[in-house]
Amino acid sequence: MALLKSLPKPLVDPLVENNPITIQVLGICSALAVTVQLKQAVVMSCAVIFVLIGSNFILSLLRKGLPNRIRIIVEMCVIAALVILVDQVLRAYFFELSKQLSVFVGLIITNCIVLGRAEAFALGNSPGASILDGLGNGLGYSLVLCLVGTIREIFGSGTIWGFPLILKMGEWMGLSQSLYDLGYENMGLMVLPPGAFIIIGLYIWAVNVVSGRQGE
Amino acid sequence: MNDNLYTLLYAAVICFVCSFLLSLFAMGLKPAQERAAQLDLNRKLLDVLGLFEEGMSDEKVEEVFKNRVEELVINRAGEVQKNYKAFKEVPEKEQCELLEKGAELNTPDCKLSLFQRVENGNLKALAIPLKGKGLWSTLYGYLALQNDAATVSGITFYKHGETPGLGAEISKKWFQKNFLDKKILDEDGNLYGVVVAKAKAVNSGHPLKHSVDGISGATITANGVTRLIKHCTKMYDPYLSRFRKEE
Repeated sequence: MALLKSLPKPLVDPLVENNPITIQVLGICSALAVTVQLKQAVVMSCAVIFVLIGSNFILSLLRKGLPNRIRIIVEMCVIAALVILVDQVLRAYFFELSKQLSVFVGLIITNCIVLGRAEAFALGNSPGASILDGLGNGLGYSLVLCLVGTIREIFGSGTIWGFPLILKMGEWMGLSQSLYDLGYENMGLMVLPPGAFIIIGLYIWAVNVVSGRQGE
Repeated sequence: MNDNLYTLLYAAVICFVCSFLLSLFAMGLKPAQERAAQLDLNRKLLDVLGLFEEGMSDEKVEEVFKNRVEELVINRAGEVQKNYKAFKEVPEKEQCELLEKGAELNTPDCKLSLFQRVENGNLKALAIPLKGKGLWSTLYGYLALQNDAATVSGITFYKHGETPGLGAEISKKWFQKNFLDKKILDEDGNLYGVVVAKAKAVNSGHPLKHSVDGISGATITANGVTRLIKHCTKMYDPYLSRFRKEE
């Protein structure tokens, strides 16, 4: 904990205490859509972290000369450019994954975390602090995404990072049959969006209980 | 007024810089993207034709594809067309609309691509492109047949927009493995196709050699797969039946 305290506040705050998903309840849409498998969640997290850092940094640089009336338009313009860039790179070098993520990479543009952080932080702070804020919020988002992705993949598909966990578990336990033959079934609900809703709901509940935070 | 001018200029500069940088990146990445897409198709084709080995490098895939796969274009009557290049992706127009719609036979000059694995002058396997509607999207893939042009030796789907975990399971190995050694022809030599059952193939009412287990929660995608297999194999029937007669 001492180490955590020594890190800059914009970086640490969004991890748990002011987590964009669980506390600010932003970016829920993509958290539901790309958490079926851990691998997708990780790639999506990297993409969001990159976009968040980039947009926070660029907009913080622009903040002094930015005409207030077209503020949002300029923000969207920068964010969209960064997201399209990510999409193009994925398509060139991670073809298989970009096919699986499909529209959700493009939807980072409308991810409220990105615009939210630009509005709430980058426009009022220095580029350095904005980068940290972007990284912190990106990591906070990733944390929840990967957690939900892990749970959904294990229970929904019986695998972890594509590795057939449940199938191997029988072997490890020294059973002659696999767990599936003994009647274990993957939980279909976990693969569907409601599964993510329930897990995120439970997670928010757990966080609130631990932190003693009261609902508004 | 000055203020307006500043705003306009600011917007113009931002737009220009963003679009300029983006087009620069898009241009730069284009060759890599096209290569990745082609490579993916080649890999899928090698896979259905039984030439793919786990962990094959990109260069190896290209080399094997070049040396061992023969690309052909045929017309509706099953005659080989010499001067056409095969299309790996089912192209909407060149491949005629037949793949999708009812198979009308009155478009004789439509061109169909297929891919053959030939060893020492003998046909080992051939792959035909698949295309048809699933639940949300059009499914694209390949079906490979053994040299009797009747036994399935592989199936794959390389493009679709079905629900992950449900319909999208059609692109998973466990589902595709079930198609191996299924027959698309019945005893009398008529086209039967391979039926993706609702639930277990044993209870589907179709003979086991013509049916595979379905995917729970993906019945409409499965029906689409059933339909498109029958439909696409019918398209290629004139060509395929030549191999059947020779036996």
